[in-house]
Amino acid sequence: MMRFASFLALRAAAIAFFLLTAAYGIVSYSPFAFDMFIRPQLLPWVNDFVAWHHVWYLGAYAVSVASLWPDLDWRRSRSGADRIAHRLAVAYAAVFGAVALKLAAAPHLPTLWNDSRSLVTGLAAFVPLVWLAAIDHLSALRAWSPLDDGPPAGRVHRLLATCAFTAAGLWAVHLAHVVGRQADGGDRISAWILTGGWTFALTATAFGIALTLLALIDGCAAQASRPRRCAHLLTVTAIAAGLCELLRRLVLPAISLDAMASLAVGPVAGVALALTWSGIAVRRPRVDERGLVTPLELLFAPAWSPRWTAVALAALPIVALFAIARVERLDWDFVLQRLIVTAEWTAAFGLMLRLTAGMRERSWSMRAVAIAPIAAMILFAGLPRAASTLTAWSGDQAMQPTLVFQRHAAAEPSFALLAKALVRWPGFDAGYHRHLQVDAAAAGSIEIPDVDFAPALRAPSTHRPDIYLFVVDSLRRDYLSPYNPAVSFTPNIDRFAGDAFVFRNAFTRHGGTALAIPSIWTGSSVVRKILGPGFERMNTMQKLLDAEGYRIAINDYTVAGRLNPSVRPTVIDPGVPSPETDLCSNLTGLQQHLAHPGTGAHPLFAFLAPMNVHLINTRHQGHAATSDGDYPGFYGPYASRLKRIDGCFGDFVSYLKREGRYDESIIIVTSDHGDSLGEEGLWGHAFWLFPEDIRIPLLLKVPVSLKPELTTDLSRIAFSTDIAPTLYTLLQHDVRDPGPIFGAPLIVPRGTDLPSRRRDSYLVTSSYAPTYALLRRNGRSLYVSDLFERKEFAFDLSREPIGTQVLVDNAVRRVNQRLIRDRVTELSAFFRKTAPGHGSQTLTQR
Amino acid sequence: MPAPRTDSSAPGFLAMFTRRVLVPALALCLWAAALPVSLSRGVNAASDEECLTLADAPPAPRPDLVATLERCSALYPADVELLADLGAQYEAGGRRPEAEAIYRRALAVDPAYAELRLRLGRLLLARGAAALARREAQAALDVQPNRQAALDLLRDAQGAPENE
Repeated sequence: MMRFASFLALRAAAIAFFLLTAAYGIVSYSPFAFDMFIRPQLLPWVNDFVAWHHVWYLGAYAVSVASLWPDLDWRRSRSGADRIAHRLAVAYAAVFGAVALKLAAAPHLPTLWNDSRSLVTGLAAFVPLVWLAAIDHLSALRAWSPLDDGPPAGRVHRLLATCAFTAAGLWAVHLAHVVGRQADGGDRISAWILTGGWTFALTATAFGIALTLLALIDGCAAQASRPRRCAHLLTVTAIAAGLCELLRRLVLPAISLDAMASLAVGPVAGVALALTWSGIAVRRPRVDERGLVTPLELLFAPAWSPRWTAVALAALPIVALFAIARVERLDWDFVLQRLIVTAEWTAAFGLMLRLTAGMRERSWSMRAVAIAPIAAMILFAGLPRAASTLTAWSGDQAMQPTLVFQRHAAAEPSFALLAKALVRWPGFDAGYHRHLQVDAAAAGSIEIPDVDFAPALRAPSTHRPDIYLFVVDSLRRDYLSPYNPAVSFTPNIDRFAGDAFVFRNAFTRHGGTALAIPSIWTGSSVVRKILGPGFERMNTMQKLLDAEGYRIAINDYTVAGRLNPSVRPTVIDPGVPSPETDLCSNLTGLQQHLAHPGTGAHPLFAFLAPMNVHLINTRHQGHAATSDGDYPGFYGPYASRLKRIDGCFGDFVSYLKREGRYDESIIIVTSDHGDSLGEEGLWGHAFWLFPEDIRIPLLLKVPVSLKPELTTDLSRIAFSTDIAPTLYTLLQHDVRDPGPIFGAPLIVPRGTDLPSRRRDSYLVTSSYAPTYALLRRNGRSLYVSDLFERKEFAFDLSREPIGTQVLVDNAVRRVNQRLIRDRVTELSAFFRKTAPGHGSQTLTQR
Repeated sequence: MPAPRTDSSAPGFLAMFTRRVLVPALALCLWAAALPVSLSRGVNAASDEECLTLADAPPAPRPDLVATLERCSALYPADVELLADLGAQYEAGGRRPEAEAIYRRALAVDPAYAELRLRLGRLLLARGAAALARREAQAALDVQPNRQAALDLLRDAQGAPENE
């Protein structure tokens, strides 16, 4: 008979392989995750896994068959379920052996792209897991039958003790974490007492629900003819439902999987994982030194001595905190951190279950089950009021529950997980969220209209300066000296600012590159699918460049492949993967291009979008700064990379000056979006539209001969979508207004007034997530609706360098939600966006 | 080892069923009623929808406009567009000192509001504070280089006598 430890090792290897294959297929199916992780080849080990998948498959097949050895043994006589298990095991060996041979002949994973084949592959990878689980269960029936008449579980009192001790232990660890963190932040004692109170209430609630559910399972199983089998079945069903919800609410939205795919992946993965878990559990020895092991212990508790169990319990939070610290900067929308926390809770529960073995039932246990929710109801009614009173008494708005929750949730993944599952933010409006959800999830079609800023582009202008447009991916304005006097590491950009218009109040219309870069070319807000067929009809920048006879030199991975094929742009640094695009290398290539004989007949338009300071480089490639230096108050890995590219930019400006090309050129330095660099525990920019994510630098140097003839407003709210119409003006075209979603010139001829934007509102959307924001009052007011987290935020951006969060009350919410809804409807109407299955019916018609 | 059912009689079974199944089921229903926790009760700030949107467009004239703008600007002292509208109403009503004060308040919040600098500059010039008007014109030009209205104010202020 195979030892359980050997079986577990073999089976764990096979499970890991199949889960990795499933994850790769599902991630590849999501357009967002494919563009973010797979196409840029972000993780080298994933590339190796894909390239050698057929070999790994053979290995996984071999170990899974080895784990089935007792079931494959043909020498033993069998009957009933045991015989079926044997036949299934033989069939498994035959079927998946054939698959292994097929894959060896024609590897499948490297052929996957961002299409439905990936989803099918991802779902198919769960089949061997379910098959193995079926064999495990049938095989275990042989061992179960004689032991099946015992009591179902550990009894309610033991469950109560387990849940209470686990909750209290986790709360104590979290509170220590809170105190340590908030003491550093200088918060008052009342603030962290309040935070501790909320943490206690939510942790107790989570385990109270678990206790109630387990007590119900125990009670139901006690009525059955085979109580243990029934208890096991009900518990596994609950685990499957829990895993499905965890995937559906936490993991799948983070990779922007569409609703239909989530509907398939969530249940399939949840059931497959629960069955796999159960399959391994039923293979465990059923009797230990204390007697019969309960179904709950089989699923959760290790078979260790109490001493080792206590040691493991003490070590668990340390291991969890270490793991969280390791993944924090790699994590995507907190998914890994929250999964670690979930695993920590589950392990803590299992260890506590082991430690409470032998507890006797008490007469009052069942009453405690009923009293817990009543106590919680009272607590939850009282806590917000207490917080409100405390806020009024102290005059400290930061103690408002919403602000306490948000600040603490951003810094503590376990609290964030509880808050997401158990708390409803004030004023959640189901109709408003549904409207935006439908818009965000619309995978139907769009119509891309033919748009021009100048209806009749006449013959080339007499004055056609070279244009250099630097869109540095994720460049933050407050990391540049022209915007922040505390910055000392961008002296060249600072000098350049002396020659340029520095727009102090600039924003992107889209968080995330996928929409932000196209919006610069079209000069408008855009929607997903904009880069499909018809993009050239809205590509107003290229229309201008074509009409003016510009040659294009480009290094960009978003729009470069979608330019009109007749243009034949010169690609700078061809073949370099997008995460490795480097401004210094780009500028060297551009200089070589400029020095090439025969390139002077046409003016040049250079578009460079380097990723030096993108989170891929600043976070994923280590935490260290790339050069010596101290950057107090700034994120070193980011600042040091910025310092390097600032040097290269300075060299390029010197080169242009030497060549006599500088004075009469148009040079624009901007970014597609900003980045969260640890503010409130947030990293990245794909999901959020917080101030640091949407504020951008915008420096525009116009030809020296034109400058005295132009006027602008450096404090007016400006957008990267204004760049294209501004170029029209600089090339002396009269610009018309194609509609409210379009940008407008940032400069006008002297003697003309720029229209005020102070009373307008502007929609900002995320490229990847269902997140919407509204800018009002000339960019001083920012309101954010995060549909994924179901939260609303408001910011006052008048305070430099980033702005401060302010309270969202009912009036603020109503006003902003109405305006966001209007702007979203406007955008959908412009593109005649249709939802899938609605034919030609546009979203705005419903 | 205890048997799963300790009492097979009907009342005994009912009692056990109630205790072991109905009570936790009821408790689960109570949990469902208690959750999700609403934070709405914790929000206690007072705000006014009319005031929040009043400055979304230049306000239409109405008898109580000044009073409304005064109330709203007290509620939202950092809303410079409200203050700008209030200042314009004061100017239209000939209440120049109040207009000047309100423009100064707005510029303390948003020093880059060039239009208000010009309005304030004109008020200052009208009461003979040419040097202050020049300063406002210059500040407006820092934000709006080459803007004709600012250049005009600067020119007028440079040519005007200083009466303060």
